[in-house]
Amino acid sequence: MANVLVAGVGMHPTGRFSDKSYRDLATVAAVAAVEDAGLSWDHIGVLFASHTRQGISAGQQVAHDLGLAGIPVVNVENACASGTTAIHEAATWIEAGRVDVALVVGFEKMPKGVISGLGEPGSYEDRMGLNVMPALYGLMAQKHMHRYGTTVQQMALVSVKNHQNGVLNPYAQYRKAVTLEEVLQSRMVADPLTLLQCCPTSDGAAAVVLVNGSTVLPNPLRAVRWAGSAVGTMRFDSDESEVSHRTALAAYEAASIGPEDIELVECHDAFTIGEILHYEELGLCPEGEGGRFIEEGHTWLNGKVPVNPSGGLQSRGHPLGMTGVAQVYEAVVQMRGEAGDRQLAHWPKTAVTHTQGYAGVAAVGVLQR
Amino acid sequence: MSAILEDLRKGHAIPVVPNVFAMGVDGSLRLAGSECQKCQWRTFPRVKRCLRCHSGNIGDVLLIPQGIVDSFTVVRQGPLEWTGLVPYVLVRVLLEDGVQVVSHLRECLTEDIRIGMSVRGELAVLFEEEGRSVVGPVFVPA
Repeated sequence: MANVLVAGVGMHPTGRFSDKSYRDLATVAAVAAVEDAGLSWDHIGVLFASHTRQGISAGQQVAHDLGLAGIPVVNVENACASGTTAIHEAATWIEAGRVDVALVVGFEKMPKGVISGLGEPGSYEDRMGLNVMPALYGLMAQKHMHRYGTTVQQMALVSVKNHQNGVLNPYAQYRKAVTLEEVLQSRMVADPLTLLQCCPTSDGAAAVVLVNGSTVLPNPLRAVRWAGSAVGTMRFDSDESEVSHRTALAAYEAASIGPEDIELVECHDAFTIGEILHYEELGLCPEGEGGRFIEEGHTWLNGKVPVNPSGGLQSRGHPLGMTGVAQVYEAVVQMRGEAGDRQLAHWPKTAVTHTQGYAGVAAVGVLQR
Repeated sequence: MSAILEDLRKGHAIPVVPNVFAMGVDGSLRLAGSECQKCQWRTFPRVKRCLRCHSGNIGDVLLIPQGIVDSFTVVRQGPLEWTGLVPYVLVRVLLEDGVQVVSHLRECLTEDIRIGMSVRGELAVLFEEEGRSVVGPVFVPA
């Protein structure tokens, strides 16, 4: 199979942009990624468009704005894991020899408030008011606290850490540090999760250019290898943690790495308990130890496995279709040493990105240089 | 619960979704679940095919809504249609036969909720809709 490289990355800042359409956001990110790769637009063989609520053929609209007429356009919707899934699928096109260059654009404009429109309208879950993302994570949090003694302070530290990281990210939605007290004293959304432990809903876009490893690049040393990836869904007897763990193992196997190789993680911290669970699911620490893992400092910028140096979903924001692509943006700039004020002292050689979404979907990617 | 049943009979109340609960022969509440006729895997709410063995040979089963709280949360900001109905408590309950059910918990102070506490099912009015009560299965402390 062909070697797949990430040759270019680009972003539009995350936030609220009432004067811009999703097409405007996506175009900025896509142009930045293609220019970063230094490739001609003629090279692009396919466009993958990741979004969840922008309507039919939104990717084709973006392709039109980019002047990409005539190439295949594939729209990808996989809940919060859409972006990672789109890159995973684009990589398979290159591995299969269908194209040499794929452009992946993740974008979203979201309404304010709790995410609506989950599941089938009129279903038991819908009518009973069960489809509330903070509540689903609230259930996970209470269980983890009960089973392992995880504390609300440990969960709140995830918000403190990621907001602190986001201060240094010019693309982040909230560039403001928060204290442990502010996190814990913000209003309760779904016990024990307070407002500052829930990611915002946002507008934003990110893009990456994937290429066949034999492609002649103007700056080949800036390319990062897309070493392996996987997408999974829940089994009849599993939960969100099981699917993330199983999907991570599949991605690690595809990339021939183990958890001990990971030097950077961008994971799905939509709610603080999520990041603690993902430490365990991704194999960064033993099951039940996630709360202590952040408390001991291992996942901070100067820790042994920095997690969400971008600010994560908590601070960078969470435009659903963008997130998985923005995670790869962060991994690549960190691996190149181009992350500016938030650059990790040790440029990571192996990075993992992870997204997880409604109805039990997970997607994991591994990057190496 | 008898008043709710009477309202259902008279059409003053409607089930939250069709075929989600039934009354057992002894007059007590049952949850309308599915049982795979091939591997006997049970689930709630009902499914079209078995998620364990993929069989399409699925039968209906009435589940006894008794079990223990596996986890809980209090929803303080809900979906748009629940805006005026927060806060409400959600519980994930493991029924005695192993089936997992998520629903509301009623008649229990938030500070008294414990993982592992015993609960039982009961019919309750969830909200009003077009002049009628919408009724669904909830849990209460056993």
